[in-house]
Amino acid sequence: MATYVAHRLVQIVPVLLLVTMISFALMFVLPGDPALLILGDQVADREAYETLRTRLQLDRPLPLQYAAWLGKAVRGDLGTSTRDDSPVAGGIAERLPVTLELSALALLFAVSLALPAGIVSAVRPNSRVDVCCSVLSLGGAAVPHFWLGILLIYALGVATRLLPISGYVPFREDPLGNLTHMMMPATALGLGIAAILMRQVRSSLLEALGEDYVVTARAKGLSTAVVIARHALRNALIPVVTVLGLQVGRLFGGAVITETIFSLPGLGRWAVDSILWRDFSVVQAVCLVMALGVLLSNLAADLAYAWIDPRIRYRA
Amino acid sequence: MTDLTRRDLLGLGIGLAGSALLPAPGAAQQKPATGTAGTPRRGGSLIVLVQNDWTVLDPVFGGPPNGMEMIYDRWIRWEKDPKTGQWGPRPQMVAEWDLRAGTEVVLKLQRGIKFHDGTPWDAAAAKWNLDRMIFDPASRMRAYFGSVDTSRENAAELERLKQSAAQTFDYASKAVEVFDSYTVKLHLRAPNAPILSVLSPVVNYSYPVSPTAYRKLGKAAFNRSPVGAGPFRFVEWKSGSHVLLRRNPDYWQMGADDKPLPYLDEIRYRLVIDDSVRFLELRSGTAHFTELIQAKDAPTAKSDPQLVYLESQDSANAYRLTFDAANAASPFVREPALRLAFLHALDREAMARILGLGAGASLRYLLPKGSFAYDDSVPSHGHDRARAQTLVKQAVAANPSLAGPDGRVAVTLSVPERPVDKAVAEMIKQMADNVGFDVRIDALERAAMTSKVWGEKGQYHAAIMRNPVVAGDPDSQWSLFFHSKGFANVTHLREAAWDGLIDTARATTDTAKRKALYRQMAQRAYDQAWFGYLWQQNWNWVHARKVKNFVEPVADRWIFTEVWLE
Repeated sequence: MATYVAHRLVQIVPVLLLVTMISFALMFVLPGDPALLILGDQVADREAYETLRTRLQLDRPLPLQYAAWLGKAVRGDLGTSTRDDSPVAGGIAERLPVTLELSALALLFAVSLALPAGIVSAVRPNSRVDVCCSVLSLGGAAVPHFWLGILLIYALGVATRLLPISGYVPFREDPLGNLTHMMMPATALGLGIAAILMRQVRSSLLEALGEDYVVTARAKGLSTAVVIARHALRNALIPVVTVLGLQVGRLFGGAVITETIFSLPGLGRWAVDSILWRDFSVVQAVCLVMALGVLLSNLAADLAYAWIDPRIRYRA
Repeated sequence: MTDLTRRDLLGLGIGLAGSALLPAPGAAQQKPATGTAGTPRRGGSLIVLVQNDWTVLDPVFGGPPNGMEMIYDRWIRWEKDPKTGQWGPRPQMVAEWDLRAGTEVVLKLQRGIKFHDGTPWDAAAAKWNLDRMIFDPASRMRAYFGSVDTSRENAAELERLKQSAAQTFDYASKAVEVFDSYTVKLHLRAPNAPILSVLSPVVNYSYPVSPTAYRKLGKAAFNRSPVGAGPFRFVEWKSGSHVLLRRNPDYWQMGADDKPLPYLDEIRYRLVIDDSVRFLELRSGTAHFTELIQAKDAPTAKSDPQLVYLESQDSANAYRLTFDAANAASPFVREPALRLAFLHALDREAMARILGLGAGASLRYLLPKGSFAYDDSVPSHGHDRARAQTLVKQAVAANPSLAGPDGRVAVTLSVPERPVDKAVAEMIKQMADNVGFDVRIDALERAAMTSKVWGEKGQYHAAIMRNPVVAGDPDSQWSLFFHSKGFANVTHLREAAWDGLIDTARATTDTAKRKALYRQMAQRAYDQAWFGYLWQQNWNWVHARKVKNFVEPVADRWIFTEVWLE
């Protein structure tokens, strides 16, 4: 297993390389000159424009620019932001924990909601509870999370003043404050995922509950709870874990809008700002980090299969 | 057109005639007037919501104001005279000034001021700050000091500055002279009437910083730990989140209770990008102040008993239309009558009514009404649909190649990818299509719009731009948009006649002469029709009712020095 994991980690490298190449190329395909954006009211100063382009190495051929960036990146130097000259690595260190926390809480919320709802729906198919859960899950999947965010802000922030509307408090400064600030954004981001997960849990569990071994278990006199918990659920989890792994990418994408609405200083919002400002260094670094996150979560999902089903064993 | 950030294009206002002479000495030391606001109360934390993220906190290198006006004090205040309604300079860190010599600007400094690190505000500090503004290669102020006499400067040293990525600034110019401990002189090539407004908050980059701190920390570190002389000291900046300031107990100005200002203990500027969320925060009471809420929310703000809604008649976001003079293939260049037709097709009143939702007004001229050079005797391109149709027909009849097979003139209208701007474009399209054009709307995100419209070579037909305007010196607006070196000259007009008019108007302090010159410019702009005026959304600020003594500032230069919380 360790060899398998090591091989998978090594395979991540060429994928990351490809991601950085594509993101680099795409930034230059986009129309817009970052030097013009940065110059602002010096834009009429041709000399300042040329000096800035030279400083940013925009006058060099693309392959050379990419090679220069890559050469520094492998040494841990992700460059500086063209917008404010701050080190990109420092910016990532500041913002990544916020996005990770938001994603983790959203995932936790999604799983906490989806598992029980999916189980109940599967155990009582076509009942009122099942129909209700299904309708809610369809609604959850259909509602855009930015709209849901505004709705939650109004309901919980303005009308009832139960939760703070926006902003972020670091956990180490004020744990309770941190959690109250993250509740609404995590709910807005996690609800869509919960909806998809719930449907998958229901469908997988329904299938598992129809298997012969479950009939046998019931025939032996085991209670429904034991049948589900010890036998059926574990077998139903593999497709659920697959879906969960695929949602990580959606989490990062959804975090962009959620962070904007709730004013969270995370990676997603920084990435969008950087794209709009053509801040190449930041965009490259964020793409790298997010790609790494998705790849690692896929690896975690694969490893989870082996944990869930002892029959699955990986070899290098 | 790209939204040139608010700080970039604020009119360099000046009540010219009075401002050339010395103001009353000691005027800056007068106690603040609280009017009907009540008795000031000390203490409390003001929560201010901002919508633009901070990129720098060193003013000379740009960035949105968002707190800088409280960390740093101002060379000169810019305030509205309640009697005349005109905006003009008032003493602040500069106690007196004298422009009567023409090419020499004498600045006498206010005494008793210290930066937050104890560095005294004196002629040496003032000179260093002026030198940095004028000669640092990365300074955003350079464009505003184009009339400074640089003939005696050390060219080799300036070139060295340009080539090095210096982390500090150590150039001592000849153009800025220390006359005595509290007097500096700035030498110009030619008289410059708007020079005082350059030193006011109207231009956002001009706040003095502590030279000691800058030299000690260097450029990058100073940007994260700014040191000014303002009523509040910098405490913390969390990127993408907030900036925290705490009161400066050694501030030089006194409150109504004979104790040093400010009244507040601290100000927390929080970044909340979404307009709706900012307004909701205010309504829920978790924040105290914001600006530029959407027009649709204004009625709610006005009717909310917990909020105070202020709307300016002197500051606004103006929507304008430009044609690209450098695009030889553009129908608007091939046939000037089409520009007239396009402008006459537009119903500005309808735009202001529908898009402004009660907080808008139509525009006829470049200058706002509060400017001394505003002149409504100059003709304007009013809504005249019949004339527009005739002009198009005549143009196409004279040159059939202008039109397509359907007889309509196909043009592209470039617009920033923003909801209101796109709505303006849709209205323009409808109006222009009705008179014989076939308008294609090209909505572009910021970088693409900037490249297309501001790029060296013209690439567009017509574009919409949105800029802040403030009633004040006309020079800023005319030079920005019509001078060949104006950074907002997006019509790409490069005419010696324009430069001559603008430079002449700038170099005289005779108000009547200037007014006549600006009238000439307005007439020329009307005749050439490269630039159109659409409508403006008046600037607004909304604050909690418990916030007392907030006075209308210059657009987004919020001054909380004399504000208190009830």
